[in-house]
Amino acid sequence: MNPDKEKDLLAAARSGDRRSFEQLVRSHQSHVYSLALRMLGDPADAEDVLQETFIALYQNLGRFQERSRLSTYLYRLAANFALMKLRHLRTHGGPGRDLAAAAEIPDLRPSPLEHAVRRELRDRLQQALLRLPPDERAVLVLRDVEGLGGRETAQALKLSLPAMKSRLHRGREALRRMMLDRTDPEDSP
Amino acid sequence: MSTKHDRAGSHHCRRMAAVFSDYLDRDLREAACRKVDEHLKRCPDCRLYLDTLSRTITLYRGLGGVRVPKNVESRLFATIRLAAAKKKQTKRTIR
Repeated sequence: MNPDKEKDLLAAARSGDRRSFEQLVRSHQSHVYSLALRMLGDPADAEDVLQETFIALYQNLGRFQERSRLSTYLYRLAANFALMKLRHLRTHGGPGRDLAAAAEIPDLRPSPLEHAVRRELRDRLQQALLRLPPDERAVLVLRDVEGLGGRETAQALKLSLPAMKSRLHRGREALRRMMLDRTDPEDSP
Repeated sequence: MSTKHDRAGSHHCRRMAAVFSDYLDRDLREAACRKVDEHLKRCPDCRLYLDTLSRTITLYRGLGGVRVPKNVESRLFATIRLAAAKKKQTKRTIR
């Protein structure tokens, strides 16, 4: 959505136009849901975060000052809700209960063998992501899976740029090890 | 990858590895980038390490986004409408 149109919709939503708000939701919901699903690994938990994020936006429309982009603000809300849920799950039940469902990405290749290989790879990747510490996972999902820039990722997670980079590096390295399926401590230079 | 470097070389490799993420993101200053390039020319272990790191990132970048299922979207909009109705009601009560 172009920034001017988004500004207009935000202004209309603030003055109580629900349809404008719903247009904003339609344009951002996939990114929020995707982040939540990658972070939590469970569709029901991701749906909770999706709802909490947009309800929080709705209730704080007046306070959103547009100093950051709406997408960055939404990523920040969603990441916070996801991290809170992970903390809650850690004390009330394990995260990542439905890994296969979390990896349901549309397959572009028709060959059954390709399909099987890609599916297995995606499952392994999603499982590896879920084994990362939540703070590193959030950085990896925003920076690499959602494709945000470095500064935007840091801003969304309220981190300094060096702190974000450090988590990104640690997370990538941990994923690399997991994907190689090796635990040798001499595995990296 | 197991390193065959001596202790000093290993330490140097670890320092290099700390900036590989920035290197792959093209987020290093030119001078630092040249240092990495020089090191990579001499060090097959680091070339292999960087290659596996780069492949891993490419793989999970390919995970991409997930569409919101229709039923999830319907429930989201129902929740928003409920919140909107509550907000209206609260405003009326305050008046």
